[in-house]
Amino acid sequence: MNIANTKVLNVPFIAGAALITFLGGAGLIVLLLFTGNKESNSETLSSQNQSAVQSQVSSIDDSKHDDDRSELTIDSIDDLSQFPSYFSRSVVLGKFLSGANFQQVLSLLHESKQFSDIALRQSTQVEIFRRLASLDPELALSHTHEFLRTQRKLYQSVIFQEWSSTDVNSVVMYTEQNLQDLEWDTRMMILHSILDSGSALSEEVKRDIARRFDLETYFDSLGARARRLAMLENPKEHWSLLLGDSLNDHEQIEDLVMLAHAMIENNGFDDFRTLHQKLADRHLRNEVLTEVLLARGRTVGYESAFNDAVLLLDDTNRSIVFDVADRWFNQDAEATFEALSHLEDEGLRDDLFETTALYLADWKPRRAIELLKSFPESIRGVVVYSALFNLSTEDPIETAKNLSKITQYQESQEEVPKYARDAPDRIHNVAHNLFRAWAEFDALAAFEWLLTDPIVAHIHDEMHFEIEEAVTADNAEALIEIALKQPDDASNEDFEGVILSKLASIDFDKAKDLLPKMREGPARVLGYATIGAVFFSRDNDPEKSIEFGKQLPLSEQAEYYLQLAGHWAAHDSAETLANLDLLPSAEAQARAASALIGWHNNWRQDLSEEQLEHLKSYLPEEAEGSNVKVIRSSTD
Amino acid sequence: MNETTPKTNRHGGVTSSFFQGALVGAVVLGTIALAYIFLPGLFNNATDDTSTINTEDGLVSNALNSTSYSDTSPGSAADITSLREFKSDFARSVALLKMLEHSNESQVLELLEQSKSIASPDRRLSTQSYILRRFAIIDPVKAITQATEVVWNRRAPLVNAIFSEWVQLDFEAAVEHARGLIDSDQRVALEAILKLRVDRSDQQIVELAREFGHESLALDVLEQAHVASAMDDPEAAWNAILNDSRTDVEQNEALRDILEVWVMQYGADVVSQIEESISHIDHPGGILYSALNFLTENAPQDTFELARNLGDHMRAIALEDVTLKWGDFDPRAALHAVSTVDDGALRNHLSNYLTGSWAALNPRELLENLTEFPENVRRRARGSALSSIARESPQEAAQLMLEMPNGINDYSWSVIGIWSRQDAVGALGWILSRPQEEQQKLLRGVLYDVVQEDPQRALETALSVPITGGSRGLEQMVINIVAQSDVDQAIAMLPSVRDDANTKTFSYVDVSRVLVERNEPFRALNLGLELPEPLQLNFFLNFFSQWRYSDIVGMYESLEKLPSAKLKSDAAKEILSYRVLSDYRPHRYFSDEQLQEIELYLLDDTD
Repeated sequence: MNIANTKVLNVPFIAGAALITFLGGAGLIVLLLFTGNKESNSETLSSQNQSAVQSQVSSIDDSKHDDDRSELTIDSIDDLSQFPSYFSRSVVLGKFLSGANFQQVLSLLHESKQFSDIALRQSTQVEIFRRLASLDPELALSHTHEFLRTQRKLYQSVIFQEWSSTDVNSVVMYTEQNLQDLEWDTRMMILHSILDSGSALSEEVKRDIARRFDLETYFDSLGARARRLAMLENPKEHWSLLLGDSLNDHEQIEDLVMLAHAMIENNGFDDFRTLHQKLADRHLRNEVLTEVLLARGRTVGYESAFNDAVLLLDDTNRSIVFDVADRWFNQDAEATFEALSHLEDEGLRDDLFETTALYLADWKPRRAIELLKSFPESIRGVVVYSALFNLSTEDPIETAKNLSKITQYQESQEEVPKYARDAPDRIHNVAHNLFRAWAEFDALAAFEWLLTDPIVAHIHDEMHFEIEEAVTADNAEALIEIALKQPDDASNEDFEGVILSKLASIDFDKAKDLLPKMREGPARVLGYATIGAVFFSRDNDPEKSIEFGKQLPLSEQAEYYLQLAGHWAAHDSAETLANLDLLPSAEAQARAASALIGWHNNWRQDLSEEQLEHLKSYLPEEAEGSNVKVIRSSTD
Repeated sequence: MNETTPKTNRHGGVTSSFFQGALVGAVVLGTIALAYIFLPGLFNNATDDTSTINTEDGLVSNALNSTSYSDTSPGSAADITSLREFKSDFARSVALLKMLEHSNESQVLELLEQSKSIASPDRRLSTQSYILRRFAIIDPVKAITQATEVVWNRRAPLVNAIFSEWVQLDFEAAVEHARGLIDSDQRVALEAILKLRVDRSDQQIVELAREFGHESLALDVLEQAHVASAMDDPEAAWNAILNDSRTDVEQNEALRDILEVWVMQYGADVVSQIEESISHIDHPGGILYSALNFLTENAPQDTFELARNLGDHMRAIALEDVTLKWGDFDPRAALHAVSTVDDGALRNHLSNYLTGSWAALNPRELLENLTEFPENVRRRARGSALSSIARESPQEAAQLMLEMPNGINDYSWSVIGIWSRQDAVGALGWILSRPQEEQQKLLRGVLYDVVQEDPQRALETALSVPITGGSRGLEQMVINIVAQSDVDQAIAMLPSVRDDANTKTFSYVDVSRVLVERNEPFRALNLGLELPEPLQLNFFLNFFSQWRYSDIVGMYESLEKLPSAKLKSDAAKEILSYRVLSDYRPHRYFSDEQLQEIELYLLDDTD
């Protein structure tokens, strides 16, 4: 054979074989594409075809039943909705996802958002995230952020479970690296995914992981939780065991409550009631009942819990009815009032009305003020007071605007609870609170209000401490100016002196400079006495302290020395005792002696018997003999 | 011709060769095709080999190769233990599903039996859930019977799995069967039924749940569905929640989640858009929190302005959220923004927040920039900074504290308290090296931790500090701390208390409080009777108040057992005058008849 010919003849042979092979091969590939396993080509699919990845098995309609031996399949994720059961959907989706790569699964995630059936959407997305996690968990996590918080948590949980099932070390490393950014509940979720992963981790390793997540305390609580879970398997038996063991029942209340819930779940409320009523210890019985009913209120509704509480009412558990009513009221005030109005026990009904209204005043003072007229007339006074008292720290300006309502709804003396030890001065209490809160951010406005609102005019004398607290080096002068604008009457007479006294303890020089601003009378004496006392306490110069008073007119000097004596005594017993005779009047000396004895009795107990006897010699005779008693320490 | 013949021959030979080649190619391909059709296993193996390379985890392909009932003869068992080879949960579940895909009842039961040997409780439960899903399709009633073999408080996932399948196959039968279940199973079953709803309207869902006495469960399910629909249409979801039958206050979390995703999709303007719709909710902070956090992370200044322009109802709480978040990463800028707030109380409040965040980020920088804070916030700022420094370097913090005006009074707790948590002995050593007049204040911050290490040393240290100026001896504090963990040891320490009226009385009062809390009121009472008579008045005033607070009913029941008419009267007075603010509480515990009985113990005030 001619080699050249052979060559020529071989070329068409090869060409023919190649063409058929190419065409046939192409056909076979098409055949494979339509019938074969998609895994063989999953990486080569174009992105447009990614959603059309197919499972390896032949198509069959699962809409009737799953009991035949044909394999289930879908052509796209949209087909999932045609399957009537979760199980069949899970089967096809599992296969569908198995062969897809990350990008393909991600495309499916986006397609799944189109499902109108939310339950189907969510269950599909759970499987998709599980698959994404099996491919690249960190990248999978980054795709959870676009979802709702609840879904996000669910999908993150799925991802961490899957990740932990294959590589616990990476999960731990990831968590440690991101610890500061992870919320507590996410850390706990991750810890659980690790603990539940089935990895053969020793207790020591588990604890170490918890420590690295800053969850050691939480980890410790899991042991107790597991113990309880086991206990719940047979609640009645464990109820008896707990009550019969040697431990203090009061320390096991939490467990008893949990068993009570389990009994109710398993056997109904009546079974629990029977066992509960056999509890001899009143404290234990009522605490368990309280917890059980409050929990039932949250789950089956407060109306039902309230009715149970009324049904179980005895001489020892009345407060449980109130506890349940409080919470019901907080949830649905109208329904609670309505139910209360049908109570047969009138005493209980009236008490509940008052308590629930006061509860509202405690928690939602503005709402209580709004609803005031819908409450029984007899309780409006106490409700408005309580509401304003609570509102005063939160919104002092609003409280000031409503303060007159206290007078408007003032109770008559007969309405004050008969056991009240001291009927509160309501205006006084609220005004104190609101002034303190207001002065925190605007002392000048608060002070202006105090001096100008007639409703608080009668409490000016009682506000010195609050005013002092509001004074700073920066605002003192402005406060004094406000005080000076007020008419010179008894209720305003010494405010500027009070302010100056406080200023002296903050900035002595500034206070001294402001002395000329003091109006004559009590304010000026107070201001001078405060400054004069500083010469004694700071400079140890009693003579200068006394001399300073001589700048005042004679008519004010006597009061100056009386006040100075008080300041000296308050500062130091020994120094005062040593200089007591320098005070220029017998009255001032007596005031100093009396104050020193008072300090000794009530606080310092720093004087000897001889010193006390000496001091008593300065007192007027009637005081020496009766009013000023020297209290000795208990072991004297 | 000669010239052409070879050409023709050559041409004909070429054609022939081409067809011969084509024939060979066709035969090869035909063989491959036939092999593919008739020997699928060969191709499956080949495909799987490829997939093993192509799939990124190298695990899923194994799952698809695993034994399945479809590959085995009917009735033969696949071994569930073979699933152990899969590390991945996903791969395991796919393999299990394939195993179950065509299983019959006996095979399912066999798998269920095998599953009981799975050691990990969670894995066992999830495996059984899959198996029972399959069983539910075959025979749901028998599936439930199997599920109830698992203890009641662990089987919720199984009941849920069964009913999730059952309700889709036969709604009425599922509902009917659920009626006969115990409460815990019934609630799980009902929730599965309600969630799947199967063409039922919202109203029908609520009515069905009401029939079961679990209306709130239907409301929960509907709420969850509304929230989930926010991904498609947040505005509609928002309105659905506001217009449903639940009070909006209970739905703060739902509104929060919807608002967050709404803002993520449509931006900050949404916050102003929803403002009016929640004006009736007293505390909208919980609703705004997540959305504002998200916006602040991305554009703090704009979000601050947005919050500032909200109405009275939301402004303060919104500014709080934004300031807190902003402070986490740029407290100085946040403080600058806060300084522009007109409302003084709010400005103060927000500035206070920023002391903490700035201190956490850079406490020394905070101390250098104190003047940027309003005057009345600076003390708190110093405290926050010192606390933060104390965590890293307690001695430096202590030194800084001493250099500050009024430092020990204002900041000893911030510094010493933190130092003491880390190193109680070191902190105590430093305190004892300070002048005696400083020690009393400083020791308060360390005694708790010293007691935990060495109660006796704590007591001796406390006793070494003089009682001055009306203060109480530190031994009271030590005894109080000891009493919390060992009341008998605390009682044994009482004789060491110095003869100072207040220190002695309140040491006894503190121990009595613990005894009352331990339900041993008469032991506490006898302790009080050991005190010198002048101190008893104050003791019993406190003791009765504690007892009333701890167990007012017990106090009432014990009235008759009290040792003197005076104590009975004092106790009765305490019960009757119990009030919290304006709320006189006796009627909360006692009926009118009981209150009258208590009144009988009151002595005339002149007695």
